[in-house]
Amino acid sequence: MPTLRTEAVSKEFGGVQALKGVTISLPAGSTLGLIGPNGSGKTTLLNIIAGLEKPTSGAVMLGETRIDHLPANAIVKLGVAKTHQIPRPFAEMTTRENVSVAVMYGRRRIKDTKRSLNEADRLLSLLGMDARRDLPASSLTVQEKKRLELARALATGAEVILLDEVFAGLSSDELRDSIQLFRKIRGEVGFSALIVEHVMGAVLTLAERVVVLEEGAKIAEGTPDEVVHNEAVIRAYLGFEENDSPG
Amino acid sequence: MRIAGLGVTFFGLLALMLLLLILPFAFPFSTSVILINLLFYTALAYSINFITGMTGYVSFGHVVFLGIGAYALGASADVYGLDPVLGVLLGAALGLVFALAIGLVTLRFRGVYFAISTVVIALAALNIVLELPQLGGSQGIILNLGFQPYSWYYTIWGIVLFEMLITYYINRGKLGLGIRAIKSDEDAARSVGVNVSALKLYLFGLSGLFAGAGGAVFAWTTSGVFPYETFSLTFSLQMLAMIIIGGVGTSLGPILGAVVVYLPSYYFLTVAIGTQLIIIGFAVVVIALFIPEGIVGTLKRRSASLRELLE
Repeated sequence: MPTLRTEAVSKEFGGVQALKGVTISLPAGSTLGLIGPNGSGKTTLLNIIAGLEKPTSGAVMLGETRIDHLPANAIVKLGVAKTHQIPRPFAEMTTRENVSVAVMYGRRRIKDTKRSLNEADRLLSLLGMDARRDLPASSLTVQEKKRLELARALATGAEVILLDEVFAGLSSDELRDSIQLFRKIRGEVGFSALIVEHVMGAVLTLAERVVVLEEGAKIAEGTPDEVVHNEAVIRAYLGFEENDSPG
Repeated sequence: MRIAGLGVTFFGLLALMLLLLILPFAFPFSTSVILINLLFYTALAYSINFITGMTGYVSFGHVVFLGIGAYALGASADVYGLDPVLGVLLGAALGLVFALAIGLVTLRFRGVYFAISTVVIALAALNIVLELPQLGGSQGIILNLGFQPYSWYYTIWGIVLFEMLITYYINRGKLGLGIRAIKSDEDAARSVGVNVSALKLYLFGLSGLFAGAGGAVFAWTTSGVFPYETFSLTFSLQMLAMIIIGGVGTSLGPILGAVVVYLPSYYFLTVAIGTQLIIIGFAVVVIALFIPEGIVGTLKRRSASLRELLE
């Protein structure tokens, strides 16, 4: 399982500097949280890693392979998969067909329909979605669609999974369930995870290390505990001036 | 009930094709002419089904590939005296080459922009042909290939057979699943590893190949190529009508659509002259409004037992 790294990645959109030389590293099997206020460049960084956008400068490396010039589908085949912030199921297809596409076209390239459907069923049951497998994906609830996103990412056989706000918009019960589920899956399927959130709760619970972005630049990196006590982070999130006392 | 993974639809189509194989011997010539036309329209329906039926990219100017095939046979038979069967192969090859070249550019457009680009290309092709004296300009090419109903019949029969087999093969396996994903959400398909651009180009190439072959047969049966007739957008409309009515993307829909559109239009051509397009247009509107998945798609959705049988 290779390490994923971004090396001084910058991205400019028509004069706006969305990312300013961001370097992060996601060692094999680890969980890295990526947090920051809205518009800080988290999703842009994720899109660049997934091949949906090209960096203006810098590089994305998967092990020794440079991947930032590759199209998104080729990056999936190398073992990096991303979930969508707003779920994008194949609405007309059943849930298991949705997952089956990822099994067949992902890194494992399983050609046989039956085997791929079996693998899809296995993943859906791991995610507690057995009862939904023959329903059209359009009929799923938002939470189920988010799980389907995760199921598809896992189904590609990815070694690196980029999770774009999978924990956002859930009730506190749903959030607790999702965190437990995530831990359970990590216990059964090995992969490294880059978790992007703008709500901190889930990230601080799950991530071993956290990177904080603000206005496209990395302003802090460390364990969750270090990061929440970092002054620059507190300022970025809460907008405190240096002399203000919080509370 | 499947034998070696092949379902009722497969064996049904196979039986139908075998029946069509012997049918010309059982009926007089006049019937064969109807069958030739029916198979010609079936070939066109399967052709546009590859791209528009399967991916949802509406190839509104699909007639351009029919025209290319027709002119390939016309010019090669006229100038080099090439055997018409080789002319059909040439038409297929040129249909493929042009589809790949055009698709490389136009398949980057989505939705209505793609549809418009195909119409523009069809209109441009007509005007280019009109300016080329080598292709007969506005006069077209008159061929003297004679009345060869059996050769016509079995050539177009072979084309349809190939199209059915390829359609069925695509629909039942990995390719079909990836293509349905593209039709549903292209970007999401890419994000699970589907090579979207290559698959679309592959399908567009197939549809160009078979439209080219069909067009060549058209030139052969009419013993000539005439620009306004050949590049008529009516063909494009009929092709679209057939797959919309039959059921887009399915293996069974195109031939069903061809039967439903062609047989009545044969009647309208001879009896109620001039009303053909009005009736077809009306049928398409009704189908699109009330059963947008076409006949096959709707039957599959309505009945669980038919879902397994119809593909």
